[in-house]
Amino acid sequence: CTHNFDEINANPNDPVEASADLFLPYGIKSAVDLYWGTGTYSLADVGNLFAQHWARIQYTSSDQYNLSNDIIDNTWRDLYIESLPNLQEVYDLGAENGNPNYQAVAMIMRSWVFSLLTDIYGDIPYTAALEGLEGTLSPTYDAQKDVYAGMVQELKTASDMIVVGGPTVGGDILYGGDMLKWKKFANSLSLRLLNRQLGAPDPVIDVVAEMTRILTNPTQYPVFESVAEHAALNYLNAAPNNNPVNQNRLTRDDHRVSKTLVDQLKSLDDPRLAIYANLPADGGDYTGVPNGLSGSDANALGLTKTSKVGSYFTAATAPAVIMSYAELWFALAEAAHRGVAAAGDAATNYENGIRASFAQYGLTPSDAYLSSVAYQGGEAGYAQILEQKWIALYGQGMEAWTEQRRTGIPDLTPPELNVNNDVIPTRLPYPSSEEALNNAHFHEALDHQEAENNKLFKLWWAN
Amino acid sequence: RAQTTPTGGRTVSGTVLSADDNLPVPGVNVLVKGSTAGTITDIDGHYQLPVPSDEATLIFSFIGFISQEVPVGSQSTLDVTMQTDTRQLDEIVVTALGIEREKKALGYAVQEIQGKSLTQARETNVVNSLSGKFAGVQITSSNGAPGSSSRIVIRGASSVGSNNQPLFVVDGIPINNENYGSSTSVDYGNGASSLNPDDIASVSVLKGPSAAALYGSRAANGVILITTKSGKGTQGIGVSVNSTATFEEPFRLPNFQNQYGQGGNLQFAFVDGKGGGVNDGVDESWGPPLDGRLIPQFNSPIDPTTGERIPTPWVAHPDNVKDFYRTGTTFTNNVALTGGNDKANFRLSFTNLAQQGILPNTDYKRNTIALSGGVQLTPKLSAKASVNYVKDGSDNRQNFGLYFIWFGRQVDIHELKEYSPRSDDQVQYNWNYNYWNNPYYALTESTRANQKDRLFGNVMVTYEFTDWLNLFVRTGTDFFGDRRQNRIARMNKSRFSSYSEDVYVAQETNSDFLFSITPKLGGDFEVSANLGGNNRMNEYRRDYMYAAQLAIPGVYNIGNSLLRPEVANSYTKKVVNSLYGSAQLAYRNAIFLELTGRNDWSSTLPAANRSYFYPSASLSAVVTDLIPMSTRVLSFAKVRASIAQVGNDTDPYRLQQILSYEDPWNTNSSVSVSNTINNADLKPEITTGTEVGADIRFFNNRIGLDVTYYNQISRNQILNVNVSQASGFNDKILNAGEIQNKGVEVQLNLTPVKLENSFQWDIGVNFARNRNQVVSLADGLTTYQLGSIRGMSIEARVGQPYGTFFGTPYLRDPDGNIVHVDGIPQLASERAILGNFTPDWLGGFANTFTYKGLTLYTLIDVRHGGDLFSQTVNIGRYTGVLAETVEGRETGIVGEGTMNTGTDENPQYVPNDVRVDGQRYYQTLYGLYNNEANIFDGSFVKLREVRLGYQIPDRVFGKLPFRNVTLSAVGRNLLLLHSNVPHIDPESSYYSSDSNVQGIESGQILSTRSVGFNLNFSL
Repeated sequence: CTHNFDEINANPNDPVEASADLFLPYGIKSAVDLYWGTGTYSLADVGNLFAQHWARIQYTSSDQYNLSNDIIDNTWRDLYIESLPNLQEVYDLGAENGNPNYQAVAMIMRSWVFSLLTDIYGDIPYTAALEGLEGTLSPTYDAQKDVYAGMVQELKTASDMIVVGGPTVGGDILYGGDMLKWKKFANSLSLRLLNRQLGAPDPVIDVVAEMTRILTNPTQYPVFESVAEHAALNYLNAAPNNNPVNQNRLTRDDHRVSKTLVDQLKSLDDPRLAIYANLPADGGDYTGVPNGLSGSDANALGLTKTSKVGSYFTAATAPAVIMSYAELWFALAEAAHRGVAAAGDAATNYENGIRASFAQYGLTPSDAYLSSVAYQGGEAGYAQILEQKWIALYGQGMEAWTEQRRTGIPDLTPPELNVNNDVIPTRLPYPSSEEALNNAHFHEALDHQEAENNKLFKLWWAN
Repeated sequence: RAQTTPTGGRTVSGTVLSADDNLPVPGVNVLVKGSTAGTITDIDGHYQLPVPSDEATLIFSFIGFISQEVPVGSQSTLDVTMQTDTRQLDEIVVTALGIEREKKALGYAVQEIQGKSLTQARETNVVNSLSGKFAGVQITSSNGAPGSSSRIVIRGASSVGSNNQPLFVVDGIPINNENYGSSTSVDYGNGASSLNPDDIASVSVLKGPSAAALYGSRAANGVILITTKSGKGTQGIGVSVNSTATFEEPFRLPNFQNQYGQGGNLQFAFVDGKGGGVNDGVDESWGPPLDGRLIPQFNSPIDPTTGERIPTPWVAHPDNVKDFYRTGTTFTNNVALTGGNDKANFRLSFTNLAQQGILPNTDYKRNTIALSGGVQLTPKLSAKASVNYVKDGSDNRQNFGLYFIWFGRQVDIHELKEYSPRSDDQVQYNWNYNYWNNPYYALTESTRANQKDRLFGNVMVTYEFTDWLNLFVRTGTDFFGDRRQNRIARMNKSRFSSYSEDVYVAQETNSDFLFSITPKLGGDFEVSANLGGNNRMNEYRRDYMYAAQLAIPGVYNIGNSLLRPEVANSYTKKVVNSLYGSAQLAYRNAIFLELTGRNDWSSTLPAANRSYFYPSASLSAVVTDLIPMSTRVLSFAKVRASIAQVGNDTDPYRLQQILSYEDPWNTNSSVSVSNTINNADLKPEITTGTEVGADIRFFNNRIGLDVTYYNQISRNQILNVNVSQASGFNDKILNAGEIQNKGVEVQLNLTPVKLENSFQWDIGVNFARNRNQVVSLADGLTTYQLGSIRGMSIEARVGQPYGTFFGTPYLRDPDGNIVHVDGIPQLASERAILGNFTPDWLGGFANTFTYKGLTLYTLIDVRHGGDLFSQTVNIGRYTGVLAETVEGRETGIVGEGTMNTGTDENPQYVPNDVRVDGQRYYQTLYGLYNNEANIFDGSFVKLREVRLGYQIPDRVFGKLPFRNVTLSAVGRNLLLLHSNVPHIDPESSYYSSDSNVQGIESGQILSTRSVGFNLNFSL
C-alpha cells in the first residue's frame, strides 16, 4: 500500500536544480540590496548615519547608536544565507561545467561580500563557512587579517582565471557578461583591500608587493579606467528591482542629509551639494539635520524645512555603487602618500579622485574649486585625501563609515545623545543567533579579539 | 418532539416521579408500545398522550432509570414512579473511531459535554464554548474579530515545532482545523470555527495518548470528538427552533490619559500634519496640556484671507477611542427538522448566523445546512450518511492593530467620520498625514474579504454478519475552497492602491473499515475486539496573486496591475495508510483490560522509516462492583491506569533539497538556494503517555471526584532547528528534542443542596496543573526560537517550560533597583529570561441552580501563571497615550532607583536624585526595546458565562403546538474579576491559533463582552 509514496512525496512546486545563470542574479542582488539599504532598518542606516552623511529626522534611536536587532541580525543573515550560498553555487556549477568565467565572477563577488562581513563584524567564519550541506553547521571563525589575505588571494586567482572572450556568463546583472570589466573590478577591489591593510599591524601578506604586482602590470591586472567601468548595480524602474532607498521613500520619510556633511560642502562651496541634497520643501538654503537628536527635537526642525537626500539617490534607477572610480584614485593617493612607489604621485591621484567623483555626477570641478582644495602634502595632505574620499563616498555609507573608523578622518563628533559611550560605533555586534547556535566559536572569536561583543572595540585595520 | 395522534383514541395524562427522591422527572420518553406515537414529560414531570385503545401499553424510559411498561386499561390518569438503574449510572461515551463505550470501562480520562450548553450562551466559534468546561484544556481566543480563530491545547504543548493542537473528529471522520494563511493582520478562523453549534449533539475530549492511540499520527495532542445530532431514536416528525441574539462591546479598553494632547516637548501646532507645523507629524501624545488653550488643529477652520488655520480650543475627548467602537451584534437562527420510525430517520437543519463586529464595517456571515439520515435496509444491513454544507465569509475581517496606541489624545473621532479629502494633496482627511490612515477610511475603503464554501460529511454502511460480528465501511471528506480578496486603498503617503487574491483549496478524505467482534461467552468474562484500517489523503492547493500598484484607483482587479503581478501557487499531497486493532476483556463487568495497536505508513517519511507501530494498554477496575459495599457513603469507586504511544509523521516534501524562486531581473529569471536543509533520514515522532486515575462518588452520587495524573514524553521531535547562518543555511530539519508534560487533572461535581421542592444546587469544579519542561533539543542546542518581537525571542529552552521569553531587562544594582545614568533608567547589555507563556494551572468553577423550570448557570474561568508580553502597553507608554505617563510631564521626574557614584570597577549605588524631562524619562523607562517593562503575569479570573433560563411548562400553551419552550438570558466574558495586566484583556493572542508563538498581545481586535437572549422551542 506504499508503492507510489515516493511519487506522492516528490515536491511538484519547487525546482531541485538550475543552471549558474539562474543563481547569479540573486547572489548579486541580495547582497547589493542589503548593502545599499533594504527595509526600514538596514545598512543604509548604519553606514550613512555613522559616517554622518545622513541623519534621522524621525525615529532617531538608530542615529543615537541604539540599533534594532534587525540591523545586526539581518546583515549577517542576508549576506551569509541569501547571497553567499548562491555565489557558491555559481562557483560550483562553473567548476563542474568547465566555465572558469563563472568561477571568477563568483569569487570576485564572494570576496566583496566577505569584505563587507569582516568590515562590519571583525573576525568571521570564512574558510569553514557555507558548508552546511556537507560539512559543519557551526563553522570556526578566521582572524580578520587572514580573511583579508584570503580575499586578496582569491581576487588574484579570479583575475588570472578570467578568459576575456571566453565562455559566456549569463545572469550577470552587474556587467552584462563583460569579463574585462570583471577583471578590472577584481583588481580594483584588491587595491581597496590592500590599501586598507597598509597601516594595519602584521598583515599576513606583503601588502606593498601585492599592490606593486597589480599596478606594474596593467595588462595582466587591469583596473578601472573610467567612471563607466566602476562597479555598480544599476537598478530598474519598478519594484521589486528598483533601488531600495527609492522603495523605502515610497512609504517612509525618516532621513535627511546630515548637518555635518551639508556644512562641510557649504564651507568648500562644493557643487556636489546640489546632487547630494535637495532644497527644503518649504524653500530656503540647504539645511542639514544634526545626527542623533531626540525624536521631538529632530521633528521640531520640520520635515519640510530640512534637506532630503538628493533625488539622484532616491530615484528608482539610482545605481548602488559597490566601488567607484574615485575611490580607486583616493586609495592610490593614500598608498602613494604612504610610500608605495608603484602608486605614483599622491597629488595627482588625489586630484584625479576629485575629478572622478565630480564626473560620477556629470560635473567638472572648477579650477577655483581645485585650487581651494589643492593637495598640501604631509599630515595635512593625508587628511585632505581622506576628507575628499569621505565626500566622494556619499551614498556608499558603509564604505564611508569603514574609512572613517579606520583613519579617524574626518574627525566626527558623536551625537550628545548616544548609547555607545560617546564613541561612533566601531563595528556591529555579532548577531544573537551566533551566540545561541555557534557558541563555542563565537566565544573563541571574541577571545581572539580580546573584546566583548559590543560596538566599541577597534577592528584589526583600525589599530 | 411532537406527538402524532392516532385517530379514534382518547388521552391519558399523568406525572412521572423518581423513586429516589419522589421528585418529578422531566424528559422521560413516553411511548405507546408498537407504534410511533409518543411524547416526553415536561419540567414538572407531566405528560399527556393520546392512546388508541384500552389495550395500549405505555413504555416509560429515561437514561439512568429502569424502563417500565404499564398497561393503560381504563385509566385516564397514569402516574408512574421510576426506579434508578444503578447499572446505567455510567454514561455511554463516544471514544476513538466513534466506538461507544461505557465510561466505567475506560482506563483513561474522557470528558464529555452535551451540545445544549454550546447553543444557549453561544459563541460563534464553538471552540471558545469549551473554555473552562474541561480539565486540562486551554482555550485561547485570538481576538474579538467576527469569525476569528481560537487555539486549543490539551495537557500542554507536547511538540517543539508542530502546532500542538488536537485532532478534530466529526462523526468519526477527521476534519481540517488548519488556519491557512491567517496572519497578524487578518484572522480567517480555524477550521473548527466554522462548525455549527446547533448541529452538535455532544463534544467529547480524549486528552492523552491513551485515549487517542487509535487515531494515530495526529492524536498526540489529544482529540476533540464531535457527534452531530441525528434523527436516530425519534418517532414521528419533530421541529425545533433555536434563536439567539447577542450584543457585544469591547471587553476592556486601555486606560488612556486625557491631560495632554498630540505633539512632543509639550508643543504642538498643526500646519500640514506631516511635520510642517510644530510636531504635527508626530503620532504621539507628548504635546501641550489639554487646558482649552487655542491651538491650530487638524479640524480648525481655515481663514480664507490668510489661508492659515484659526486656532481652536485644545480639549480632551476622553471617549474618542470608545466611541470608535460600535455595539456588535450576533443573530443566530436555527430550524431543525427530525423524523423517524423503526426503519429510518433523518435530520435536516438550517442555521443562519449574521454577525457585525465592534469595529465599523466588519462582519461575519455563516449559513449551514446539515442533513443526516440512517436507514435499516434489511435486518442485517444498515446505512447512514451525513452531509454539512457551510458557506461563510465576510465582507471585511480586517484587523486594526495598534491604531489608537499611536494617537493624538485630543482627537475628536467624530470629526473623522467624513473622510473625503479636503485638499488636493490628500487622498483622505485625517488628524495625521505622516503615518496613519483615517480609521474610518481604512476600514471602509481597505477591506479583507473572504468567501468560503465547505462541505464535509460521510457515508457509512454497516453489515451484521452474526449477532457477534459486524463490519462497517465508511468514507468521508472535508473539502473547502476559500477565496480571499484584500483591497488596500490609497494612502496619503503611498499613492497606489493594491490588491491581492488568495485562493485556498484543501481536502482531507478518510476511508475506513472496522470489524467489531463481540462474542457472547457467558460466565464472568466478556471479550470484544475491533479490527480496522484507514486510508487518509490530504491535498492542499493555494493560488496567490498580488498587484502591488493598481493603475486605475479603486478598480480592484489583478488585470488593473501597473506592474507584473506577483503570483505564487503550490500544491501538496500526503497519504497515510493505517491498520489497527483493539481488544477488550471484561471480568464480571468490573475489571476491564483494553489493548490497542496501530501501524501507520506515511508518504512524508523516507522509505526506511515510513512504517511505524505503536501500542497502548489500559486497565480499569470498578471497586464498588468487585467488593459489594452497601455503604450509603461510597456509591461508586473506580481506579484506572494506562500506557500508550502515539507516532507522528511530518509535512510533505521535507526529504529533498529544493530551490526557491526569486524575482526576475528584466529577462533574467532567478532562483536561490533554499535556506532550509531538508533531511532524507527523518524518523517518526513518538509520544509516550502514562496515566492513572480514580473516579469516586459519594452519597448517592451527590459528590463525584475524578482525579487523573499523567506523564507524557514526546521524543524524536521533527524540528526545524536553526543553525549558524555562517553555514549558508538558516535551519535544518532533524529529529531531536524531548518535551515532558506531567500533571494532575481534577474534576469535582457536588450537589450541596437538593430539596423536595425541586430546588437543586450543583457545583462543578475542574482544575488542571501541567508541568511542562523542554528536556532536550538537538545536540549542542539549548534554545529553539519560536518567534521574536521587539528584539525579544520566544523560545523552547532546555530545562525551562515551553515558551520562554528571552529579552532585554533593566540594568539593576545588586539590590535589584533600576540603575540610572544622568537620571535616565538604563537597560542591561545582556539579555535574560524574563518570563514564560505556559500557565501553571487552569481551573473552572461552575454553579447551577435549578428550581422547577428555572436554571441559573454561572461559570468562572481561572488561569494562574503564564506571562504575557503586551505591545499595547509597550507602545502606549512610549507614545504617552496611557494614563501612567502623565505624572511629572511639566515638572520633570526623579526616577525611582539608584545611580552609580563610584566607578565601573567599584560601583557605589546611591538613590537617584537627578530630575529629567518627563517625556525623555518615560520614553526610556518604557523604551520600545525594553522588554522587561512590558511582560506581565497573565493570570486571570473571569466570569466567563452566566445563563438564566426558564422552561415554560407545556401546559401554558394548551392546544398551541409549542413544547419545551426555553427562554434564556445569556452573557459571556462578562467580568474580569482579577488580572495583573494593565490596560488589556490578559487572555489574548496576537499570533494565529496555529502558531506556537503565544503570550503575545499586539493590538489585535479587542475581545468582547457579550450579552443576549436565547429562545428555544419545539413543535
